[in-house]
Amino acid sequence: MPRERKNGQNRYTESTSGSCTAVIGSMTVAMRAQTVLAEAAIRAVVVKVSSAKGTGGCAYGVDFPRTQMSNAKTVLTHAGIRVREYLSD
Amino acid sequence: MPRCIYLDHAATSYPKPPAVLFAVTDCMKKHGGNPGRSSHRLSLEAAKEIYACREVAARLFHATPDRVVFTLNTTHALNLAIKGIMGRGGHAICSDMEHNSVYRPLYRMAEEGVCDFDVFDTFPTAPLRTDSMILASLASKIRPDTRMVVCAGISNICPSTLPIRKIGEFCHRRGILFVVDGAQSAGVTELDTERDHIDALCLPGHKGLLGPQGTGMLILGKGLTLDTLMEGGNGMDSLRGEMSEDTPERYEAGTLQTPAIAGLRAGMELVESVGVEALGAHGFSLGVGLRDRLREIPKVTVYTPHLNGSTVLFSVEGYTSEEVGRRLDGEGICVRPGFHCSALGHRTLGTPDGGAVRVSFGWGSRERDGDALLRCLKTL
Repeated sequence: MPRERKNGQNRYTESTSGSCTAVIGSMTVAMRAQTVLAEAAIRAVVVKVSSAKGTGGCAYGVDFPRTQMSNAKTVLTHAGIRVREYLSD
Repeated sequence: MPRCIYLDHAATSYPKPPAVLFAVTDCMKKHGGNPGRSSHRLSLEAAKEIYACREVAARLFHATPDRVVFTLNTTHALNLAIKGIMGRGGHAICSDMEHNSVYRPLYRMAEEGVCDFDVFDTFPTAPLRTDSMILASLASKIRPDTRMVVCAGISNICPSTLPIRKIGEFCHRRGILFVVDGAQSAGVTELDTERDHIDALCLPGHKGLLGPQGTGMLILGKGLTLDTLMEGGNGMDSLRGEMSEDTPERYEAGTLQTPAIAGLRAGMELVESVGVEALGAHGFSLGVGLRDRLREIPKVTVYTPHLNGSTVLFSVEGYTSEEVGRRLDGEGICVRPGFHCSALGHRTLGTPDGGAVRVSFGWGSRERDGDALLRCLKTL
């Protein structure tokens, strides 16, 4: 079940609880991100991000535990998935 | 329903596998949302269905799901690729066997002074044709401003094939983009965008991939961004005037045909499970068998009789192709007479003014279908 992110989220800062969102843009690439994260044992959920900074409107992304931030970044970069920005709760 | 022997698989495959029919209906019942437009469950379920189809296509053609663009058919994919590459000018080259889906976009763009194009020879009527002859002909057309080569892997009117991998290597070495019309190849011969250096692979969903009509795909090579053919809503970057560069949505303005795409996925999964090679070999053996028996009928002329494949093109002395087609239809046999949307191909083969009759075998064809056709032709 996707969740819809709202305005006013913070850009990513190091923390040990909650979740963060990799804002991607394309629904297809967000789903691909979900797949590659799952292959790396990182549970992610596709979310729609309305009016996220720099997206110019609606965009899709993936939501995952903040504790996995570093691993997720590595996995997404390795898969060639361009992330527009990271948001945190 | 009256008896029907379907021998027109080059136009579209029929009947569709039961799994395809089920997938279409099931999708319409269960996944009624608009994919990639919202965050509610029905929209996401539809998006998952779309993505699952992209994954199967990516496996079949050696790409990644985000390089699989859904189109309405091969013609749509070819227009997207050709105009997206050549819209800013330059020189293009196509083969002398191309379908009008390649020829007409190039012709129009040349007429309007947008770009130039030349046609290279593929020698389908030469019994001793070689790949080297074809590549030499292609090389002779190269200019400093050549930006794109476009050709079909398999002709839509006869069993003429082109050495796609060699042409891809040729283009890759020269920095020329390579566009392949896979209308007759998909599902019956291996196509590998990476190995074959294909920058844009244009495919039908409804022929060898066994999906519903209204489905096609453009598989993009790594890193290729085209100009768009159509602009509009795609569920992302809604506040901007321009289409974003994110693929595949950049090229998918408007709501996708989700139920048909679900059917296409089922068709491709069937192709995967049976195997492209096995499906290709089935049509191939039936085509060769019919061709050899047609050649024994005195009034029949078979075009490119030295080539082997699932398609056979012939004419009957004293009859136009339409007359032969009507006679066969009267016996419940569906073939395609005429010029098959291939001005270049028919000119190259030198078929008669009345066109020719095309018989094309596919996944559901049987040897007795060819027998029935022969029996009917012998009564002419």
